[in-house]
Amino acid sequence: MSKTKLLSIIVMTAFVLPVAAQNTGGGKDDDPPFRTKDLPDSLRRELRQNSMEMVWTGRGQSSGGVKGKVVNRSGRVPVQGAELQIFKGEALMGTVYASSDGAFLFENLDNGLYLMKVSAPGFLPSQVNVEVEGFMKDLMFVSLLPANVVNDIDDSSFADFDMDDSGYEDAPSIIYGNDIFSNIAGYDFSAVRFRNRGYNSETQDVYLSGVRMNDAMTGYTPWALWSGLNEAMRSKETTMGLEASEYGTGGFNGVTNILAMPSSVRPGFRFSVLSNSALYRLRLMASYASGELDNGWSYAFNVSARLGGNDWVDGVYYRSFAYYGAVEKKFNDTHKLGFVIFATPGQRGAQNASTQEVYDLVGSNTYNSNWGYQDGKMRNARVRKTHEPVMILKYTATPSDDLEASATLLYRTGKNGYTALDWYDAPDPRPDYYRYLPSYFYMEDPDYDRIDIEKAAWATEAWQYNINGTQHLNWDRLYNVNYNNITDDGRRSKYTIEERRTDQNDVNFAGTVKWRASSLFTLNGGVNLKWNRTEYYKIMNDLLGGDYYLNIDQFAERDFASSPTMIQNDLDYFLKHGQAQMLGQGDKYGYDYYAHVRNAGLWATANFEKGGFKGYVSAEGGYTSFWREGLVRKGLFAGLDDNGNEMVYDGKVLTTYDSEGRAITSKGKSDVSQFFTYTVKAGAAYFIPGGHRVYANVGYLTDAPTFSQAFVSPRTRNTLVPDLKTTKTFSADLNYQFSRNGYDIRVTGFYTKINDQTDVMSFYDDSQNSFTNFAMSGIDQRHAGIELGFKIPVPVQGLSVQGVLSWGEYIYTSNPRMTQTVDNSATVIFNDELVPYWSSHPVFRKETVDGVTSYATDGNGNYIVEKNQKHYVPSTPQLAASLGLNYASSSYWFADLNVNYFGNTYLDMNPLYRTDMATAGPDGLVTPGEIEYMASQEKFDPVFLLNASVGKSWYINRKYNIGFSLEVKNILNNRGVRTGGYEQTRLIDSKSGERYYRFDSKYFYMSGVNYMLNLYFRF
Amino acid sequence: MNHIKYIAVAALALLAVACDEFPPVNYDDPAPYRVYTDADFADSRLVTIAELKDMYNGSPVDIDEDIYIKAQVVSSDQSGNLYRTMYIQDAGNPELSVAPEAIELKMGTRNLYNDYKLGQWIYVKCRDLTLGDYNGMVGLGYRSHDPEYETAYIENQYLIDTHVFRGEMDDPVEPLLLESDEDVMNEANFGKYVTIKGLTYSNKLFVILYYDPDGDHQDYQGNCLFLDEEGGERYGNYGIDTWAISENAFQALLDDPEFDFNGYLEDNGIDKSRFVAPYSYTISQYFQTSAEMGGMDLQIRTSGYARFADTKIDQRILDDATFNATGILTYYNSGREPNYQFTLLDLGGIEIPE
Repeated sequence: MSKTKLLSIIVMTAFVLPVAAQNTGGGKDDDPPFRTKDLPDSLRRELRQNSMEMVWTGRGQSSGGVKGKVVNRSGRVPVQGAELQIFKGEALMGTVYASSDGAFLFENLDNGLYLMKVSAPGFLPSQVNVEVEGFMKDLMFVSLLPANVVNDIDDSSFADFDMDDSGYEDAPSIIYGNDIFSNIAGYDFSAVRFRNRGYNSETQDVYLSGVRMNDAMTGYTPWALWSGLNEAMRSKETTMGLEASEYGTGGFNGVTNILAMPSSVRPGFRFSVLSNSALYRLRLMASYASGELDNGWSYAFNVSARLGGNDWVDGVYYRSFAYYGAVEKKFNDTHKLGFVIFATPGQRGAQNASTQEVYDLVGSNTYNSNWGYQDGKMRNARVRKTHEPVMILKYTATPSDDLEASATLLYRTGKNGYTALDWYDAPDPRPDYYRYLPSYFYMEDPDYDRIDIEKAAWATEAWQYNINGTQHLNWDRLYNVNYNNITDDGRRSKYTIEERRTDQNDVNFAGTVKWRASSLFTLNGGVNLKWNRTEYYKIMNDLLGGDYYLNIDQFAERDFASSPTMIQNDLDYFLKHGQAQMLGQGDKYGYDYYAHVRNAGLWATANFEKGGFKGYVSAEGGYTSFWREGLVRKGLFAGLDDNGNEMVYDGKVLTTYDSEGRAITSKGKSDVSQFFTYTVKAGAAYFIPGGHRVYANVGYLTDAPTFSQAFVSPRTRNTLVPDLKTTKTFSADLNYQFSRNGYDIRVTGFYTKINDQTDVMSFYDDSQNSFTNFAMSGIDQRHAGIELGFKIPVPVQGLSVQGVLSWGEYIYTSNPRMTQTVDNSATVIFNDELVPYWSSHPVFRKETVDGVTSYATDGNGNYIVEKNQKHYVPSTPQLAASLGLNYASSSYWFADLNVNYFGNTYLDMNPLYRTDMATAGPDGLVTPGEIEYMASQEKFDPVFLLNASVGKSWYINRKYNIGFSLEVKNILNNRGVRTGGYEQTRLIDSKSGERYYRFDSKYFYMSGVNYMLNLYFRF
Repeated sequence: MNHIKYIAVAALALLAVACDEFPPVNYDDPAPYRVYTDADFADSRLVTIAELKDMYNGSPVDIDEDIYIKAQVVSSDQSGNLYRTMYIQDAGNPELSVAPEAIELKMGTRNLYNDYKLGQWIYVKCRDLTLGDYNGMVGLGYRSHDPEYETAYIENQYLIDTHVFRGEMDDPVEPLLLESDEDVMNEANFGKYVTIKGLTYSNKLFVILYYDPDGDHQDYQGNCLFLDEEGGERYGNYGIDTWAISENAFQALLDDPEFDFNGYLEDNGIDKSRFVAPYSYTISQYFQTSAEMGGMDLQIRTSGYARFADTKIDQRILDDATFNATGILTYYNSGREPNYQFTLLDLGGIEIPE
């Protein structure tokens, strides 16, 4: 037997329950003898061709042998046609195929130690050691794990190594499965923020112990909740695309369920030390799992610390810890109860995007404007501080082999904070604020009216040579401004650090039942309930040398300075005390409101299986409601008092009304938005003997908008985005998979149409001196493309060629409507207006006459449209490819070398630039040049990347395992790889008054060459 | 077991290296600003503001000498009535009988009061700065590349850091009491922190309104109404009795069907809907010095961005009570006629004697 094959089998996740039957008592020794006629015709043909059947009779004279049934671990469904090969040493002794009920038999085996390898399309290959001792050993069940289950991946396997929180991405873009495509793409593509099929991360369903964990407010995947707990959370089950899972009908971007229970953590001690140069320097991790003890108990713990900075982005650091503790008790063969608690307390410094001008000035595309030196040390103003414990209580009942039910109660609580600079009536402290840059003083085009080339030169010199710390936050100045702002009440801070808190209380219940009605039919079903109350508020994190800060709305103060009530963040406090609250460290201020979300769902999936055919239909019905509950009364939006009367102060009515005559209010309960949703799905797969599998899925889904998409300005008032609708999605895929003899290939074609999406963008606009909000509705997208993944052995021992291709077209297909508001006013700037250049913009024909190029017109004087340029779903390569070599030796060396290509990546668009207002300019005249300039979408340059990895592990005394793995990414040190960014939602007036110009966009870049080294020890 | 040793050594080395960069948790508060003194400018020549202003010769003067001025801050932009500029006043030179003078320092940054306190001494290194005139007042700024202006804002922080230095804190400068219209018109007093007593309300408003006469939203910059000239005294204060008017308040007036600038719009056939947002307008109230002083017109300059913009003028003043005003004396002459103006720093500068 080749060492390569052996190693590949070891490295790939194998899960065998060789003696599972001891506890289940479910074996049937009197199964009828297997017959080839029980098999489908195609399989019979294959068996005839190979002259093999379910019985293998050796030439030995011994009465020894091995028999059993190959079953799917998930539901003990027989795996018909599974290939079983039995080896003695290196020699292949025989091959059989499982019958329709999964049965197999090797007979007349001489005594000795054998290795039996089991494989089947759609399942992970497995192997089991068997000692033949002169009698027919009944293994009862040999369980195969579906290929969508990732269980206990070995640290030494690079492709699956530690990417959950390796430092490259806290939220992996693709979940590792055992799928060849996601294995490679999930690892190699994460650095460029590749999104599977172009879908947003919130479309990916992530479950924890059967409970859907996507954030109740935003829908985002909550990886940060358990990052750093790799060992405890390693075991997971995944489905790709539309496929239904055992935990729910799911969406169209796969389902991942992290098992999280102690019995799913690999037994033994593990210790590892990891260093990487792309995000944090050091990770220390320890874990222990008992496995299931004889008394039915199992327990596990996992702790880790992630510390330090990195080589590329100054100011980004981790001081994060993680803990996990779990205990589980199996009371008898029927009942199991488990409890888990975990959290990842800590903080980490964040990075900021900047304009290309800034990056060029400082000579680095990984410049970070969030930090400056204080006390000689780097201090980051934007720090995420979290501690959100999650507790899970899970009960599982298995009254029979054919019936399993579980009930899970999950509670998430704690705090989630994000610090940021806040300032009152003082210059913008951000070093890369546009007024501090050379381009603010001089632009070549005189129409910008920026003509001071000398001041631009001064600014350039200051930036390039970092004179007086120009490149960074000037903490000394911020403190000194506060020191010197002396009032009768002490030093009133002008600059502070605020902490924006999003503290969730999230209670979930998930009940599932799985019933295997017959060998042909299995039914999964369940119910999900969610109760969420999230409090959004700010606290004063640091007064930066001052004594107090006033709880007033400085944005409102500009416009309503002479009104003592309208500038109040807490009007009730003002009315009671006659002045705004003086804030000390730790006080709440600014805004404070609850987001309430209620969610319920009921789902069922019917699975059919006959011969080589598998199919399912799945349906889910859901109900979602949410509302806002303001906890403070803001002066701008006083609303009605507790008795329903108008608010009055000093004879003036403070209550304001919207266009429909309803009081605009910041305090109290908003209208309740309610949505009924449903999903229907179907899929079919056909296994063709020889390792082929063809399968397809189709589904139609409706989803409720999230809370974060539903309010025009939740910080200030209860006003909902007009005309909220459910998102409607149709999706289908067609797949072919081949898996045999070391070959692993998958090809998929997919098509998804998403309609009626809603989005709210919010940002600080210093020209308005306020936060401004764009609420868009009616956003439609279409995602179509192909995926290819392959791994092919080459005629060199241990070497294989591997690669993936993801090629799609992800485009916007509608022009949405937009409502623009600002926080400091009830004024609606754009009221449900069309964004006419969102999905595309016209490109006009040009002609050159006498050396002068101008836009061509037709006979009526109209400009001629040459084509409509599509606008693309941004922030992910729409063309991504990888080609590489994989080597694995029998002595546990392994190595990978991959070349990656990424193209067709587009910048995130803002709606303002696609409006008639922006394209027309101040003069109101729309010209072809203005449309093409203002509405176009930026496309990033394509990039090549080279990654390599190497590793080795040693086993000592068959008990201890130590090893290392070293990975080097971006070996070519390409420092010009844009991974994302956004357009600033602001316009620049022109001197001519004929047009607007854009503000420069901001970008994120990938790190240059970086390493990750992991050393581990386990026993 | 050698492998274990190697791995253990490597792990320890990794730990040692990584420990070096764990983020600090505590930061000491930064030290107070450095206070500059005369000694820091020993290599330059101190000149008075009067001497500096004398260097102006009718056209912009780029200063190429190592000279500096030392002066106290006499203005504050805290109320928002000053924007990006600061007035400083020196002690003159008593030995040479040079009286104190003041000058506008065109800093170009906002919220200057945070960094430059009333009464604080500052040093300004003048080399590479430019003296220039703006409608009759000489100020100190940076070389302008716009032919319409003789000086530009200094604006750039590197320029500020290398030219403007904070000195000691001191008591705010006592305002100079102007006792006659001649004092008001005395060029040497321009830019100074002054008090004028006995002012009365003129019931006259200076208003520039930009509007769009044909409603085509084009070329609005060329369409403006100078209401004080076109309307004259017939319309009084046009119905506006606040110190200034903010954009929101202006919008409210336009939305109010009853409001028509004391009949001016109707008389002149102007449709209010033709005013173009974002609005450009300037509104300042006129006052009169006392008969003892000479009874001249004096415009109190106010901005719609001032925090007191929508504050109604004290009713007693509207009812002809006399009052004292303290602020910065300024001058504006666009070529038509000289305008002696008074810039309020905040409403604390208005005092009605009991």
